[in-house]
Amino acid sequence: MDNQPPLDLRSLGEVDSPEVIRAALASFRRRVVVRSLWAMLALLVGAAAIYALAWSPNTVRDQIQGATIAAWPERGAWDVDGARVVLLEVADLGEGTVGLQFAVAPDQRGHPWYGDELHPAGTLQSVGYGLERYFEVKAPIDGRIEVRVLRHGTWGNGSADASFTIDLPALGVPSDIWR
Amino acid sequence: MELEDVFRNHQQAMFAYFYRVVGNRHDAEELTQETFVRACGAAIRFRGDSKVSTWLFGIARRVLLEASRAGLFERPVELDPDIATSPGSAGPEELLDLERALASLGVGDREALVMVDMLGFEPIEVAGILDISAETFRVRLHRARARLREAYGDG
Repeated sequence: MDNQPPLDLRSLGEVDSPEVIRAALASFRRRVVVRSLWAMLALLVGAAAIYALAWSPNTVRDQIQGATIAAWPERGAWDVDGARVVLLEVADLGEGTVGLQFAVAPDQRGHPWYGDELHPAGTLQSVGYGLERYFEVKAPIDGRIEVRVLRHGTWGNGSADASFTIDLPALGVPSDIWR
Repeated sequence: MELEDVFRNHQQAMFAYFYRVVGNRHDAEELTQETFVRACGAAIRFRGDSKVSTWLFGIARRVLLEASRAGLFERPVELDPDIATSPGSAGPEELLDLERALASLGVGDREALVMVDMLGFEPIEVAGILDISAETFRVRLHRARARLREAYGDG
């Protein structure tokens, strides 16, 4: 390496600089606000996704309650050996299946129901909560669904079968729900 | 000291750095501003284990690197006659020749010369900013000085 002194460049650093600091601070604040808004948006989207996931219809009850095509027949009630079974809702669950929601009134003689007594024909899945029973059944061709009632040992001695038939057209349930 | 004051103390050096390395006023102004914007966000992480100027020029260097990847140096160098340089030890003619000689060098040479011989950084500080060894930077600086002398002599 040679020992020549470097050229003096200090004078080249004495330039007139523009004022940029206020613009920089304002730009920084703007970026913070924009990023905060994006972060909030991301949080909201995430929360909405979690909410939607948590509330996705997992059970037949969720599916019936979330169905967009449904009917609420007013005359669907049957007395079965002292208990009263009421059809509350009929819903189109798509793919050739129908959702049925029943309420089972306590037996007038005080006998309990345990949730596995109703057996509509073509049941694919079912779930019970308290006095409510939910079923997904295959769509009936003629709109009629036979429901067997199995009273196995809940009172008296041994099982006692009964049945009733739900006539959806007669109950005024539109055919586009059950066909 | 307020961040604004810190920036104000370094504004001229920062702009001069960008102007001499990039070669045009508009880009230099934008890069200076962007450096201060980034420094606002990075200030909370500044631990004070280096000089403020070293910290700031480290950010400036990263801003420059990103700009160069975006094609900054594909534009021609445009010396702005309106950016007056104070006549120090050199006369106006000599100064103009020096500017031309510096502008004729490559970006790496300009950066090394600007940081050490114009802004007064120690070579070891610049090596840290550039993330290279001190010895490598000394060699780069030596070669840049030789090329500047040659270009200045030709002018």
